[in-house]
Amino acid sequence: MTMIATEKTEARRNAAPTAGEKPAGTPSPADSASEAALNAGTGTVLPPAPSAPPAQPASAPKQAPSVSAETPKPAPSEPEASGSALTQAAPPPAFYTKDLSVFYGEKQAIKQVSMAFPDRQVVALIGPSGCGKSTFLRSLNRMNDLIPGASIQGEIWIGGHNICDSKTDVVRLRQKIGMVWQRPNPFHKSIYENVAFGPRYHGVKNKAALDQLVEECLRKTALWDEVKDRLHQSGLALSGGQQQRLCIARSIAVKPDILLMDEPASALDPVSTAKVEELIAELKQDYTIVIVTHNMHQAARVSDKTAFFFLGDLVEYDDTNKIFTNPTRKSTDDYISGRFG
Amino acid sequence: MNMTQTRPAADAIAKDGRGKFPKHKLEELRGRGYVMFCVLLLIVIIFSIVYFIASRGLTPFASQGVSVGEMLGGLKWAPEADTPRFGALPFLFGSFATSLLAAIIAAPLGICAAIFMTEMMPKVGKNILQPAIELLAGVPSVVYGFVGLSVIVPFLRDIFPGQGVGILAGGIVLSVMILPTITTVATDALRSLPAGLKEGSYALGATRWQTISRLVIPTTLPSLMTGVVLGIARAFGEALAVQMVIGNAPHIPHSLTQSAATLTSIITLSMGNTTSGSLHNNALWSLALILLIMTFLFVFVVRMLERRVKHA
Amino acid sequence: MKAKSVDRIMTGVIVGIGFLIIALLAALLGYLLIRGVGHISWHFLTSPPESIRAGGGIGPQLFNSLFLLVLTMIITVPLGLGAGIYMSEYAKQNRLTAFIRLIVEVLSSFPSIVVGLFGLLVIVNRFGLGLSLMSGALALTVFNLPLMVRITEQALRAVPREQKEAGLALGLSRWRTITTVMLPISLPAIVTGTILAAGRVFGEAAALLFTAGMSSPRLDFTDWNPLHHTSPLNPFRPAETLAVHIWKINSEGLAPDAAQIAAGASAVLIITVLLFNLGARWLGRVLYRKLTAGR
Repeated sequence: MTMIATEKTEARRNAAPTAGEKPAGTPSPADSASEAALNAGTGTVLPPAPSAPPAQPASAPKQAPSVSAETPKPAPSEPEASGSALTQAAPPPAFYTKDLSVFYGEKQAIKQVSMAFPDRQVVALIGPSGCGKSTFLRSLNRMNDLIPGASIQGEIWIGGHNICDSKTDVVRLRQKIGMVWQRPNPFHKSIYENVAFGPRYHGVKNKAALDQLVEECLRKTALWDEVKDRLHQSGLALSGGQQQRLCIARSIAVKPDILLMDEPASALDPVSTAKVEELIAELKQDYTIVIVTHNMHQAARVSDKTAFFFLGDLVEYDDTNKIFTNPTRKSTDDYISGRFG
Repeated sequence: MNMTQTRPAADAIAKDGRGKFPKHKLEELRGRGYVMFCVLLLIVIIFSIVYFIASRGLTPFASQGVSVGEMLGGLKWAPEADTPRFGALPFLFGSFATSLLAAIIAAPLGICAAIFMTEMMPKVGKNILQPAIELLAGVPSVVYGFVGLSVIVPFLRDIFPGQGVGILAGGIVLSVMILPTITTVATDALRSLPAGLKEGSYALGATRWQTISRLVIPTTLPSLMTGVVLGIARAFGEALAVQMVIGNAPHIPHSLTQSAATLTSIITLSMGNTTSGSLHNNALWSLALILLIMTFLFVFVVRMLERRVKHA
Repeated sequence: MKAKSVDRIMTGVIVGIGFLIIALLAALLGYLLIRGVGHISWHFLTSPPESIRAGGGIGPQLFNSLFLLVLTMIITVPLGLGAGIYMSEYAKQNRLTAFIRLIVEVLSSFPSIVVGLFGLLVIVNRFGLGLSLMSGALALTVFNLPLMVRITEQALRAVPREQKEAGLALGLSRWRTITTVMLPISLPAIVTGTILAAGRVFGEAAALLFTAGMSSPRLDFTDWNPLHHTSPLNPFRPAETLAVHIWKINSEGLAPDAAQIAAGASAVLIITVLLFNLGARWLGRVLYRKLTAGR
């Protein structure tokens, strides 16, 4: 087991780290996930971890930061690598988790999940309700801290820092990680204020600069033309879909790197949903996006990679294409084909 | 550290603890400090109330030779006599009698009003009765006292022998004052009843009254009792309205329409006329201490009842 | 069929009681207004009371009540908001919080006369503020604070969790999220509750007997320097409020028209309370509409 993993990791070090795909017959998807995390972090910021799980190849962290991570080469040894992965320069992951567990009191809602999120790609988290996908998402910006009794174990590495560390400045962290909720929740303020609120707090005082920023964010979310004449009306006066896009505009106004979306379209009508999905496709040029969805078609449409959660476990994490056409695990297949959930 | 280079991403996160103290931590600290101060003030207030009233109220027992037994069981209140007597039983009796009487009158009315609002005519209830009850709750106690003095007392004088003042008048005035408390708590309790429960009963062919009397009231009984106890507590502590209609005679009356007194009425009347530090004055503080202890007792009973509600 | 007739009778009884209570309120208001309104005149509202002659007014008392109300609210609101914010946003689920909750509950159930006595002992005597408006305001703060805490806490708890999370997700500190995102949303509830609490303060008398006093010095309504003794704005002068005045003339009024004055003053008091009540609802609605404009 350890042997296989080590071999694979060795092989993969030369491969595009983001590619979660692996040779057929991988022993266990859980392995593949933690392995993806390892690959993701190959030789970069893996901490000198004394608590490293046994399955983890000791060699990997010790590897000097190799060129491979910065300029990944196509991997000729990787027969299954898709064409795009071969040609595309895969960037290092935006962030990754390692053995992340979340507890509500005694109950463990997330069980040692390790996964890497490739930079500027969309990762969809799917699974039946109660599987922990939302909990997982909300722990990525420590929003779960708000829930009484919730506690977190493991590591989340963003830009070389473990944000689960108690010394983390959560407030600054959250500025870098935008969030969009299931129900649109614009502030009870004007459209303009909704967008300008965050940047102003973070120090953009100049009126012209704010105006420009608001316009830019509203344009990015394709809202500008719809609201430019009524910027000072209440954000609550917009339709549901517009409100949701306003919320997205609001969160990108503070210039985050990562966007977390918790079923962002589930409260919207089909037309608005389509618009939000289009938006996600555009936003991924600038942001790393993690989206929780219960709508599998949506996951298939918008995401580059998909993770299937079940009962707090990360069951399978792979390219969306692969997950939806040829999943490795039977439970993934069952869920995707609608046999449960 | 190539990640941090590729994405200036979250390197801001890292700078916690080091360098300049960030603005957001400062404002957080200030805000948190302020709210802590407010809460601390609350705690200080309650402890100083208990401390100051207890220290004055215990003086007669501790150093002025009045026994607790005499205070609680004595029938004669003669603080200015040559051999002063401090029997507070008439006041205790008056306080309990008026507040229990008020509860006996107000509890059925309040609970019926709650049933009216939740089970019978929710529309009339919400639009008329509810605001009416809220208004009743807002009427100042001196106004109740004034109405009691100018309407209820003369009315009772016409029917019963005596002056009309006394425990009955006090009880009636207090019952109107505590009606809102009882009604509000009862209404909340009835509203929180799951709809399926009642439907189940109706489905079995029970009439509305059968459902109410055999199912709704027994299930919500602890909550209804909570409302009644809260009402009694309010009546027990009410001072001016009672003082105006009770007659203020410091003895246990022989009938409900004979002049009487309560703990609050004697404090109200005498506190201003005694010199601070005198035995008489300190004895009044002892009565205030009794009021305080009763408050704790009522809160305790309410907590017990609420615990039963939660476990039920 | 016996059950059916019992049902019908009881339904009748309960509906009867419901309407009885409505009638009771109507009778109460009607009585107060009919007896009192006739006595209300500009002269009555503005002139000082007379102790033995007829024709006295309630001018200083009315002013004192309003001034005391303002003073009390200035002290209570910031403290109540602070403690309410703590209870709803900062308090952890532990014994300390349970204890503070108990304290708020006990404090709100203290009889107002006990609060008044405490004021006499500590504020009037120990702090040396004497029988004064300030003493009265502080006593009423003690009396009103638990209510204010509860209003704030409930209003903040009613704010949707996503609103709070949205503020936090933008990288706002918790304090900023509370003050700039949550408080504006809960403002209508807080304003409504505060005005209702103000109505309670306006009618309170027992806590004031021994703190603000039962007499009012001659006020010179042309002197608005708060430091002068006869200035109405001096917060360190004794001040009899309207509610206390009603009590006093009912129990020891000597003027020949004491009954009419009591009736008139009661009418003024009840009208003010009514205005507070209606004002609170109206303002709450207006604020709500303004804050959620367009919906």
